[in-house]
Amino acid sequence: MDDLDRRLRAADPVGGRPYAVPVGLVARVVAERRPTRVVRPFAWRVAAAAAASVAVTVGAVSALGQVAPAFAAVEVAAAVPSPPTAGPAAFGAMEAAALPSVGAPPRLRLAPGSVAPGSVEVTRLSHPADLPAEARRLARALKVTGPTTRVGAAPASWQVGRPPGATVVVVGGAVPQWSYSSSSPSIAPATQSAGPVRDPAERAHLRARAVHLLSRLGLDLTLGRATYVDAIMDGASPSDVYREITATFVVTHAGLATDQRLVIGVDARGRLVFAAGPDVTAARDVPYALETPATALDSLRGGAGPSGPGAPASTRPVVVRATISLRAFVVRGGATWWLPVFTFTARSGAHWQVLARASGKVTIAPGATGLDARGVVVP
Amino acid sequence: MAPRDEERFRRLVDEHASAVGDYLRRRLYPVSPADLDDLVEETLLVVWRRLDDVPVDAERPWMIGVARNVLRNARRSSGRRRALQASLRPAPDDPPAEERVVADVALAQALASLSDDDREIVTLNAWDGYEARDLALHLGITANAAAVRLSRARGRLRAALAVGEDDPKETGTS
Repeated sequence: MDDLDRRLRAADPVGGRPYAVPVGLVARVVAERRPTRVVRPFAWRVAAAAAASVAVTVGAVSALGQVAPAFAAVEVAAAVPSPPTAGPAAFGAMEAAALPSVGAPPRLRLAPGSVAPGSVEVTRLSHPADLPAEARRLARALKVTGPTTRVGAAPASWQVGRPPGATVVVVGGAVPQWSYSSSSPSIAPATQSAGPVRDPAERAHLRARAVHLLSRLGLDLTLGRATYVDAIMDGASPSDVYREITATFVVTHAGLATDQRLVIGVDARGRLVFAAGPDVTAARDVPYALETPATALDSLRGGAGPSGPGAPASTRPVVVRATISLRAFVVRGGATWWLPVFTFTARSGAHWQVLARASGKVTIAPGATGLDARGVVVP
Repeated sequence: MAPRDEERFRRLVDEHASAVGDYLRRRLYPVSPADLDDLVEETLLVVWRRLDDVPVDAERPWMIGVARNVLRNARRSSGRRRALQASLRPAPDDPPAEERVVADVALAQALASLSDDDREIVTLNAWDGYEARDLALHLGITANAAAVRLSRARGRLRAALAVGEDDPKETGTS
């Protein structure tokens, strides 16, 4: 064995922890003989598990004023990913931000320096207390039958039903998620083509289906804008194709977009193939004092990177859009809140998020991860 | 299925399923345990359905070949839904920061710079313990050709490492 072999073996991701076949797998396989035609929840479960698994410790946040009882000396966890583009450090080079002026700016489109709402309603989210019971409740609503089994430990995940039959999965964590998959084949079919759903009636029908589904599940969530995808996929045989229409809705609250999504997919016959979304409801609204977008921009500039006149103008990002939305954070004690964040988008498409906190109302402890000391959401 | 078929299948699982799981985990790392179990199950399902096709003298390479196809299908079909939710959720299992810190970054970069075929043949050899004969079965080529390809792929890996490290031992020069 030479040095290269030693390095390769040291880099082996398995690293002395060989895979162990789960108990019951062989029995399931031996009993499993029938291919069907709808989508397996492999990728879907990846995403659902992700939502609850990203409890990124942020640090201590203390809040005073109107929301002091909820936020005093809290530890926060971001429940959603940060923007995938450049981080706040790059923003430190910005000298001046320019926004197009608009006559009557929409509520969610704010120019730094313009008059922003003085406060918004922030919301505490209620979680299901008993995940297996919640999984069974949702399964009953969706007419899914079968055993309730624990399918994940961190975060705790429970499943009702068993593939290839329909299943309901509830995943715990900062923002619990639920998902439904209809009976499925062994391997998800490959997508042959995909495009937008152009028929307004079809889009309206999907929205109505989604609203009805939420009602059926007893989840009090409001749906905002949606993306609709019409996909043709491989079917069970080479001469067969399978159509699936998917709608992804932004969950809104108090008129603001949140970081949560509801997804539903139906097949060509209108049967529900899969669905998923957050398993939370708004439990308590509290007024929350907002800083202005301009102040938030200052917090992006301050403290990181070469801010000020030293930065060449040509390298300074020009902000072309500022939006406000609600993002889930977990406070000390475990409660999850939707708090407002500003998202600033540069002409290049890069964007940054910062907690829209009134100056002096919220402080963040040093050493926090997920948010920096200025309240900037760290990628 | 006859009882002896089930018996053979269970033996295949006992002897090779762990290697199948390791193969998938290495290529998908990081992957959640639940998803890894799903992919292993998909692989074993194909093995079960095609039990009569499993060559008695090359069971493991054949099963790894099935796993490779399952992996390709899973990657291809999961792309669309991942894209749908890209703005919503991060990758589920980012390696802990400590793992990144201790990782052999130069080697990872050198491996990443190889072609898919080169990387596959190098890692099959180093991680999955494939010798030339197994590689030949896996790739559908002769053992001699497999040995040559392995040698060349390792040479390219050494060269890629040398670019970053300028280490005479790795380049074979003095």
